[in-house]
Amino acid sequence: MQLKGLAMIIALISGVMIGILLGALPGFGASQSLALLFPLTFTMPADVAILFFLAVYSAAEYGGSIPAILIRTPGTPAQAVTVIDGHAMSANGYPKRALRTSLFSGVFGGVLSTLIFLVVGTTLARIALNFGPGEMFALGIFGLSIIGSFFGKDVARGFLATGIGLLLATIGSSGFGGMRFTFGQDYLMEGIPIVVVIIAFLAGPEALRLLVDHKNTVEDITSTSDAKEKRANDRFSLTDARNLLPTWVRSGLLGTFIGAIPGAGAAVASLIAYSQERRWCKNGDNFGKGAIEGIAAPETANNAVVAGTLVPTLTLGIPGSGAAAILLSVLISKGVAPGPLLFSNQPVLIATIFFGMIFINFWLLITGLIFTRGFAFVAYLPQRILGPFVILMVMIGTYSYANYAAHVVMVLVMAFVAYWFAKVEIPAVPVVLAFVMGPIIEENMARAMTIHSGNMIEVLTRPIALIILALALATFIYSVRSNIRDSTTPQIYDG
Amino acid sequence: MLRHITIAKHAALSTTSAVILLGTGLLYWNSFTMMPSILTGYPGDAFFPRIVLCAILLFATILLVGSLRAQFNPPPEPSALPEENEQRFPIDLLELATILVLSLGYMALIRPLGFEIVTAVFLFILLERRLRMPTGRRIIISASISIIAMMLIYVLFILGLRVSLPLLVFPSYVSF
Repeated sequence: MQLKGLAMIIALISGVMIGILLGALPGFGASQSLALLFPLTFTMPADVAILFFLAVYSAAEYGGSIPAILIRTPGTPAQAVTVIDGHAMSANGYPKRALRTSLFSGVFGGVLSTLIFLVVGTTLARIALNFGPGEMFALGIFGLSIIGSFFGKDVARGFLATGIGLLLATIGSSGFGGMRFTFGQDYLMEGIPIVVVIIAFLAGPEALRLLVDHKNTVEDITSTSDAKEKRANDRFSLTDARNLLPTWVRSGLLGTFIGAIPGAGAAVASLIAYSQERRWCKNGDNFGKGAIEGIAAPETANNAVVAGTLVPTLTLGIPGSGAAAILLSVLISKGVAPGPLLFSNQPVLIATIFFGMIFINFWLLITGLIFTRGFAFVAYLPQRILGPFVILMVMIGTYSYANYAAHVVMVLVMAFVAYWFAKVEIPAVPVVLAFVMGPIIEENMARAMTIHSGNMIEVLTRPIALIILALALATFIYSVRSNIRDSTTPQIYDG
Repeated sequence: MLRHITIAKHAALSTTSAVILLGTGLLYWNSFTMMPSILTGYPGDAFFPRIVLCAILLFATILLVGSLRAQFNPPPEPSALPEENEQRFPIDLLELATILVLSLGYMALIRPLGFEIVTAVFLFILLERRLRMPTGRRIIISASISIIAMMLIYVLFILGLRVSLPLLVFPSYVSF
């Protein structure tokens, strides 16, 4: 199996373009995109099929940032964090700069994680194996501490929204045969799909804001010289790249490592990278107002997750995410047996994947650069005109998930609730992120307690879990103290 | 006229917190109907939801107390942040109700009338009220944009992504 041949090149190029398009559509995340394209791989050779999938996966993680930046509607859960600074920068008149920051960050993250994957793939897998249910539970609690602490006008609002997200995640089957909070309604038996929550809490209130609050808004006509100056500054420069290098490296490493942990995923990676970058970088106070690092950190991390996810998938046969599970299905259907000896038994396949990922990121860069100008056009449309299209995409995107009208009604109801929440400054991003984290936390907690016969102390005092929980507690205490000490220093409010 | 109302921020937050507290109480009561533990070590279906509900109770109470204090004990000096001094926010009830009715109507009518008609009409109604131009031109441009947008969605979602939307006239797939 070698990286050559017209079929391989066409598969990679088309995979990238399809991935960007699908990732940008609300209702189509990476997993749904790959599931949709699975039948196409039946006639492809194994190496072509794998690289086609990786192309779609990588491109979808970037594609989701386009609507996140332009219309505050993340294409995938991982972009719920990108929305904050990405949309702010676009709303400030620099949509192209925001889109290109996302593009370059994603490409850097993809390339860095590919290199790490090749060099330390098996070592990383062995480290990731130490993350049992207790450690995953602790990681989830750490994630919650970040979500509640850094998002929202104050800590109480942030944690309230986090609690609401966790509560929504408990609706439906408990996984142990019981039903929770369904009140006899059939459409709640399978729980609320993540797509419904993302669209309802992020895209829905944005659609209502555009339709209701901006119904009569007429944008100021800027003078020609002002418009020219703004267009001249609306670009991603070499200086930006130089300044972002530390952010890219930190977030890329985080994303790769978190991607290697089964079950963590791109949303967790984006969130942790964002919060850590806010702590480390000099521009931390401007996070939430369109800081370039606020876009670069999550986008680098969520693209780094792609190669990171390959680590447990290829070396241990453990899919790190829904998308990785589909990739694993493709591998098995083509007769490739994942496992610790894959690197030594199938060096040509590993080399093919390595060079293929580099090419994918290169082509992603080219495609993104060509189409950025076209994508940015959306940001220049009057807000009152954009509103009808956004609400229509909200409904069709939701309906296209499972062809179930009840989901659309759920989205509409929750969107109105989220719109009201925005008015009383209860943030929406924590609801979405906590909804994603909730099952990770509860399942691992239940698993850990079952393994240790209900002795949670034994679970929580394992070394890795203890360190992570200490970090979570420190984060919580730090945020409460900051909140009390200086209430004029705003948290990141995404409203 | 109730079309536009302005609501005091602190009162809105108090009410929201109170409603959340009430809902939390009801859900906590409902948690007693959940399945008990079936595995050694597993704490039961209600364990995690109750922890979450307690956390919501705590933070909603903090918000309620804080907003009531702010309502009845406003700060003597203006805040450094301008947005802190904006004590009320406007809501266009009529427009919200219109959007809700149109959206629910869209979902209710998409099957009997088909995607083509319902989508074009939905977009037309929303766009026509938002374009700033003479009536005749506004109607023509709204109608044109609505029809073009509907066809683009048809090509992208139905033909391209094989999303199953109820169609009246257009074919659900095209083969060459």
